[in-house]
Amino acid sequence: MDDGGIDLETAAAGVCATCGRLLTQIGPKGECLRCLVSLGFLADGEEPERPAAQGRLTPGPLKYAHFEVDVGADGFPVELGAGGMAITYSARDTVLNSTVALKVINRSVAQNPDARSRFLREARAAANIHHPNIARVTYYGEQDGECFYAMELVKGETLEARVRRDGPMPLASALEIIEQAACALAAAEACSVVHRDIKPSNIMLESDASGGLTVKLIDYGVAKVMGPQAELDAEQTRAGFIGTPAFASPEQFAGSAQLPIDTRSDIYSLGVTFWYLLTGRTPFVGGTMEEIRVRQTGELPLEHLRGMHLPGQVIALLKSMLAPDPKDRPQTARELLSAVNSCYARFNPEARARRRRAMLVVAAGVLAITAIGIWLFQRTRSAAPIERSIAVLPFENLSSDKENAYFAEGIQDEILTRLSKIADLKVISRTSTQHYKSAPENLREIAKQLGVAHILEGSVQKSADEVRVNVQLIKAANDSHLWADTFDRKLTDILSVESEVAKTIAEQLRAEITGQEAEVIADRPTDNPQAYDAYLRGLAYTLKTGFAPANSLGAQKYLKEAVRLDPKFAVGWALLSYVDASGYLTQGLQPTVALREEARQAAETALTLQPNLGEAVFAKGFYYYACLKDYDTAVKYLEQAHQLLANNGRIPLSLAYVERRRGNWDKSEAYFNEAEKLDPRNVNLLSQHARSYICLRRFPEALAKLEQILNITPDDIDTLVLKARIAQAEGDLPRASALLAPLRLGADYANALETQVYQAILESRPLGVIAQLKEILANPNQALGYYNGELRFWLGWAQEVAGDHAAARETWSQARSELEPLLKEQPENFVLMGDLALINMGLGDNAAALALAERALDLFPIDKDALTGPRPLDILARVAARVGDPDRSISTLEKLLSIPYEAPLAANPPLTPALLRLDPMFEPLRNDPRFQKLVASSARK
Amino acid sequence: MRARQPESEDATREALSGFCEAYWPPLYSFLRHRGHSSADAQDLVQGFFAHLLEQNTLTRADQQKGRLRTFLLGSLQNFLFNEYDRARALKRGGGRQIVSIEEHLPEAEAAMMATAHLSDAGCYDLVWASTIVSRAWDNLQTAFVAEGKAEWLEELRPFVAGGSVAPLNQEEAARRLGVPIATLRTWLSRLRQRYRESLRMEVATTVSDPADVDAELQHLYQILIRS
Repeated sequence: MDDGGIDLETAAAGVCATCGRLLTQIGPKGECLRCLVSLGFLADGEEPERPAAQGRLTPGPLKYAHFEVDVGADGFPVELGAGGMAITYSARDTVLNSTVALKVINRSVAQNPDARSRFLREARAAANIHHPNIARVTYYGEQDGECFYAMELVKGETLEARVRRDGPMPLASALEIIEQAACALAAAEACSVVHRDIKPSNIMLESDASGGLTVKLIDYGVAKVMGPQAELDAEQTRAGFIGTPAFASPEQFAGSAQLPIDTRSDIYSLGVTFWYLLTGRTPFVGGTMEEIRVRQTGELPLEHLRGMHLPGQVIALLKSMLAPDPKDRPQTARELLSAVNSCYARFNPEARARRRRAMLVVAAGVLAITAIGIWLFQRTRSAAPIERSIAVLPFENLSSDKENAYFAEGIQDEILTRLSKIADLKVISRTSTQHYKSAPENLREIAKQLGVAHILEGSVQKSADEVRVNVQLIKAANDSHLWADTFDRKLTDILSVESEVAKTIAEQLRAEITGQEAEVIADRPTDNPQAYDAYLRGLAYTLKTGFAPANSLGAQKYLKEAVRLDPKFAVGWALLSYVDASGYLTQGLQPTVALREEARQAAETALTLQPNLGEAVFAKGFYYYACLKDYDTAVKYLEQAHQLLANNGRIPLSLAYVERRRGNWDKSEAYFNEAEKLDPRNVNLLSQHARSYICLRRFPEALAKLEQILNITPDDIDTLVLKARIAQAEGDLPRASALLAPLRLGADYANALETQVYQAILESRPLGVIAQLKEILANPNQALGYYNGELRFWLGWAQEVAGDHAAARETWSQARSELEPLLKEQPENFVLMGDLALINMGLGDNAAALALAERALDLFPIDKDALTGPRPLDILARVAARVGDPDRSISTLEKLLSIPYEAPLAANPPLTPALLRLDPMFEPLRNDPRFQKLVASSARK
Repeated sequence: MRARQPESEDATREALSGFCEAYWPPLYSFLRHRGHSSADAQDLVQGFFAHLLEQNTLTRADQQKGRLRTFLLGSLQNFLFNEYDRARALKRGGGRQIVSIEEHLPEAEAAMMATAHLSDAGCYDLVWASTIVSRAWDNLQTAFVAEGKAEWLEELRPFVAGGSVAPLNQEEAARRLGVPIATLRTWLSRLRQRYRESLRMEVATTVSDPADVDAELQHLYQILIRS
């Protein structure tokens, strides 16, 4: 607990980014000598021991009123801390016979009568704050020209020491600390006391008997007293600065003449402290105090938080606490407290509820504490995650060749897959764990987020045909290792490692394994190491998020290679079928008849090789869904697979898809919810769930799901774009623009790019996107197939909106000649039909346009596919409007506004009244009263 | 420097030059803090070193069973009192104060600003502590450069030595060095350990009794943290 409340050095000095102290003592390369000297007697993870007071030249007892300073073994007074202006001793209150912290103020401060009286005033105010989170001031005295006060002795360590020792804290702990500190601020606020020097070294953590942590703010009221004194000594206080620069608020820098220092200043400092707890550093670092001041008013360095998966509310809380203008912060400590509380509740309601119960006990005092304690203990235990649950975190790739990342990913997934086949274990899907680091520090936090009791960490090192796999099974509650082992094997023998690891974990967690499960776990899917290697490469592609064509192509290529090398590789065939079928459905692969055929053959081969292989049964079901739209058969297989693969979230997810296509939106939602339990942080799943809400025009729920995704992957482009699409559908173009403007997109982000173009069209500002599209189309990526032609359709539309009809015609002509041959290859590709219908419409070939729209309509009746089935209707409504058939267009629009569906253009939100109003394709209908009525209506949910 | 019995004249000279280099800054700062001009302070430190050599005082330092820090300051004060004042007074005529603080403040070095609020001895102590801590770091750097690890030391420096540049996050640093994060952490741990040893060695050269190392180290800590 250093007393640093009063760093009075000149404003010119910088601040150490590590310890936050003024950089007045620096080495030749700017090293902070205070950091260095601290290392001198701290082993890693050790906290600084407060040395006995060498400052006093005379050993022997010191007495201040009835307080006797404790004397150490060396005969010197026992110092708890020392700063520029005061020394804190451990002392004994000889009247009450208790130990206190005694702070003795430097003579140079104390000798000024004004300073003394201010000090007394503040000490009085501080003494009036009675709060469990504030170290209370109990006595004030003056003696021989020194002033001193006694305060509650806090037995614990400062937050600074804690973070130095253990590194950044898990979010849950940090939030808990901030919550308690906010309670302290609220109590102080009620007594009109401002701390002015909130920082990690002034906040102590005290453990109570039950192992809970109590936060205590120390040194209340001290800084303010020290402050005005500073003005007396111009030499030292040119800046008139009170507080520790790295934690000071902008108004403290500005000086009290300009802005009053109130609780909001403490809230700011607490915000910096919060940041420090989470990241181990302060947000604003500068060579000088002036630089810090300037940075405070700029952007928050949110990149420090990247990879921490902080919930959006927490980031919003940090932003508000650290707002440069006090008016933008929580205005009172109470307000802060409720923000922290709601953060806590949203982020982890269960933990929050437990904590509240625990706090109630404290509030109730000591009465019946034992009984309640026992009850609480039992409650807490019953609320703990089930013991036989595990999450497998991404394995670290230790190979010198970074190319081998696929191998580490594959090994992790294979171990996870084996574990997931044990019905007695709860195993979190890989998709929920993949965003975590390989060996994170906040294991407890992660376990809490995933609702598991155990975590498996691992690393894989591959060189030539040697593989070393290291695994560590950790019990999250106390971070203890249950089991750790290293396997050094030949590549040919790697499969046995996976089985062995899975088996040992099951044993360690005392999971019951049926005979069939044991067989499945021990199974060697192939004896051919090259085939297995190719399989792992393919698998790694399937594990990437999103259905980007490159991922589908990569997966397909290697899986084909795997089954070519070992034609009896059933798991390989099954995965190939799944990749083909989902590529066919999402058009991540070109949806040709040949692709569909490959999916069928692969699934059947897998089933023939191993009739009871869960993956094979799943592949067959998925094929029926994705390629044949035969939902009944699909459900039959999927339900069978559900039995075989108890923990596989992909199966309820597929069932959710099937029910959605069938138009059973409620049933689909139930499956989504079931899948989310197994796979709570699967971005793709959450995103599909959000898409359902979007189709249903339940935009607030969709936005909530999208926020959930952004909490996991903060910069996910597809999610940001979906948010923008919702804004468009709600007619809020500025909001959409704000979301889209920062994105710089290439052709790889199909929907995202189209959404940007659509935005420009809706805003009638097409010039920018025309240039962008031309640039992309100058070097088309052939692997993207018809998508290039589709982009050309958009370019033509943008050119038409820009009034350049000749250019639009030329572009559309080219698009038509590109897409027509593709339609011959993919005769059932309704996207292609829709594109061509609109292109023909643009070119004035009304008959062809209508014919294509009708053909799509015939091929895809809505009852066959509730999700995308209505797309041809959407196209038809557009074409009919343009070709002079307003009746048909309007009746189609009436129908569309009454049903949920996924729109054909710039995928997703269905038409809404707002879009009808904004979309220029409906221009010809503007004056029709029936259309006006639709625009004024609110679409049915 | 523990004043060991030198084995040869060359070794003596080398040891002495190392010694002077190490302890020049605190002595100089002390004199500057007392109000001596920069040029005078430089002359005085030179004269003081020459005096130490003449009197063979360094060997005595070892025998004093004390700390070099307090011993040197005491010697310098004696030197100023006994030797220097006499010499200067004779030269300049009379016991007139030769330097005035007000006159020389503007030319005080930037480093002196931070010690303005300290006593002369406090300033000496602070500069002393800074010097020891810096030297320990320098020695470590030299060792790393000799081992061909200059580059990664540069990368790891902010994690250990603080400064105005915020350290990258560890993942980023590990990526830049092309090592796994676990390796980076091991390196950091070793680096801290080696610095700790280097600092202890540096401190050890300034105390005659090895048992005093811890106390002296804690004293340095107090000086720097409180300053």
